[in-house]
Amino acid sequence: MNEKNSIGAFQLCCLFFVSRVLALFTFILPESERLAAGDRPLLFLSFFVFGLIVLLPAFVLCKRKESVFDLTDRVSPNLTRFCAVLFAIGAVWNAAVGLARVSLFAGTVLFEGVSLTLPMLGLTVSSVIVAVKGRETVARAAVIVAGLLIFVFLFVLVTTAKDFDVANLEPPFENGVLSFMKQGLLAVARTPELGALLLLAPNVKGNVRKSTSLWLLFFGITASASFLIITGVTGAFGERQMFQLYTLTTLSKLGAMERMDDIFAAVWVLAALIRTAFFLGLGGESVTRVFPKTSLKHVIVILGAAAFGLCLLMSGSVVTFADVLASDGNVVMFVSFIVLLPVVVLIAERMKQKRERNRLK
Amino acid sequence: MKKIICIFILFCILLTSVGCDALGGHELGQRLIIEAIGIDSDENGYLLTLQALDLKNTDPSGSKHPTKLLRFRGKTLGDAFGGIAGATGLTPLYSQARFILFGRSAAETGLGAPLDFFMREYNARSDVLIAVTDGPASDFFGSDDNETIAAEEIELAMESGSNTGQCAKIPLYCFVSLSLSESDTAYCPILKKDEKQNTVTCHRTAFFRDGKWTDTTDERLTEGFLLLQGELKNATVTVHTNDGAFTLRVINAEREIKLSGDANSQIIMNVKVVADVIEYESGGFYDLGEEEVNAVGSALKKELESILKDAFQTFYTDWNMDVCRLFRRFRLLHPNKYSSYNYTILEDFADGFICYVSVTVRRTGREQM
Repeated sequence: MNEKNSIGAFQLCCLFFVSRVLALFTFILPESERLAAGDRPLLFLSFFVFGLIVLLPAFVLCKRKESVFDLTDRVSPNLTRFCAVLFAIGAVWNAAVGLARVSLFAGTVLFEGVSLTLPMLGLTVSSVIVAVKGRETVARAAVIVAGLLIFVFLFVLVTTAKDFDVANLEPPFENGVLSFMKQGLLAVARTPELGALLLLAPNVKGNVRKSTSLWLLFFGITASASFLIITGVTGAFGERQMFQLYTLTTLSKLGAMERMDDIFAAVWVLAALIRTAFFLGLGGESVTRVFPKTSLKHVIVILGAAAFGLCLLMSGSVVTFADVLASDGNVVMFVSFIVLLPVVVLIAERMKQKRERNRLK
Repeated sequence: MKKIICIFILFCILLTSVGCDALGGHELGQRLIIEAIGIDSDENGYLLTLQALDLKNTDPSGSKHPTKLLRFRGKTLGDAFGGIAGATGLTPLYSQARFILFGRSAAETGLGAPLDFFMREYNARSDVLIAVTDGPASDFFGSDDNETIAAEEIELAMESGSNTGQCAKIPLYCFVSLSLSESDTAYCPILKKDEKQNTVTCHRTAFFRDGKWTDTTDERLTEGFLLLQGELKNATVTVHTNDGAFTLRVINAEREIKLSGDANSQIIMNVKVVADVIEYESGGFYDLGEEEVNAVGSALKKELESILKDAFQTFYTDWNMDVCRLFRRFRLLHPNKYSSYNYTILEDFADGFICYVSVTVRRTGREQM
């Protein structure tokens, strides 16, 4: 294990939390893909179960303290190059999705009708600088931001709970259990952070499997609690809002403290910075696997530019963005990267070992 | 070198990113800060009346905030709002609006279309208050030759009306939620203007069916509605006993609903009331003994139970309105039995309604002997 570049399991979970919360806050989905209101409070169950299933190959790697590239190296160096390119593309895509989420949110709610190219460029440049500082720096920052985010969540949930009306809730499984399960899978598919375990497995100290499982449960409960309060407080009105959690924050007040939504939004932008830096760092490390002599800094700068370009393309229309995120292609990509790829590589490695053993015999 | 670059970037940000228009936004002076919105409708479309801050004539001491009245017409509400920038050169800022008033004509025609505008407009606050006016909303803020009633004053009238059991206030997001649900009933307070005194009072409550104002409660029914909601506070109730007439202030009325829907729908409503005696008309200045206090408590309990039952009967049998959202509550408990909503269910609810009121007389105004 490279001690210098390693992070703790708790830090990794904070990173995952910060990165994933951004998607929760800027929850953009087309109407057809929305989870039934009654199913939302129970979402954490299917999220947890599917999350664990999806993470099984990554857990095998964690146990062996190996990354997916360590395996592919043993199978074929060309396979390593191929996988590294795929992971780099995936990392840039996810960094861009995070940036686009912020851009669409800010352009819709905070600065309506204002060109956000310059601020998004600023956010990308900041993320590149943070990513260049290294994984450990990003992880440490994530711990602080996670603390801030949890405070914000608790503040919003507690201060709006007084307006909770049980009559706003809907019975669960109105669209059937299958729909509920599908939405759980979709929620997991919107968690590309899990894929990072495939790369970071040898660089994480502590019991990664236990921590990640607990994180799945913690995040699932956080999301379910948020959805429960959103539905219970805002009812059918919240259902029709594009950024439901933001709508809830606008209702949050404590004594003289009102209109905290802009301050909370700033914390969410901070989460976007951490998320983008995290994915750019992962992408950079993947590329340096293909081109070992290339400077990581330069690679991250180039990936940052690519993510910014993609973000500009994606953030043109909320409707298109929502359709892209909810497409089956997104789920297929997620399953291919995080489940199929490591499983295939594990099988290929086992077969190669078997062949070599037979040859020696 | 890094520090020099950082300081350079910092200065660039400090010099270029200051002010609201740094990113192409609007400075405060370029904004029309709307305090109150009035909406009327007729066959020609919508008439939008805005009370906005008059920043050009602001008192330098800051003690007064002059306002101006603006009126815009449009075939749709979006059209009318769209005319603001063209006519004033200012960009409207809805987030400071304290309330949205709908004139009687607009409310009777239907609030679906105008509310749709505010649901889609992220600039508007979700918790802005909603109310209807007895007449046109355009006359409500005052006319150009008459003294304007400040938005703050109208908001206070709504707050005090709600806090004294005269009306039920409601924010936009609750109103919309109730309007969107098939089984629920939206409501909002009715504002009345005293032309002579140029003041506003908030009394009674308007009820909506399919987004249209169809029914209005009187004072007693408003109290009943607030009791059903568990929202009756600071309302005065007069009761008569053998000792004379007592006026009590209901300080608080906590409501609890228990539902049982296995065979027939049964609704048990427990209301715990805390009240103060604020007046005893006995012809003298007598103190109250334990017996008198108990008698007052019993009389208040009887009166409140009667108000509750009458209100429930009116809403559920006469008006077919599920104001307690019982259908939705039952649906959570028995999703299969209550899968679809129809008015006949409300009659079942009316048959199965039982209410218990417990009264605690907290203060009698003078020390008991």
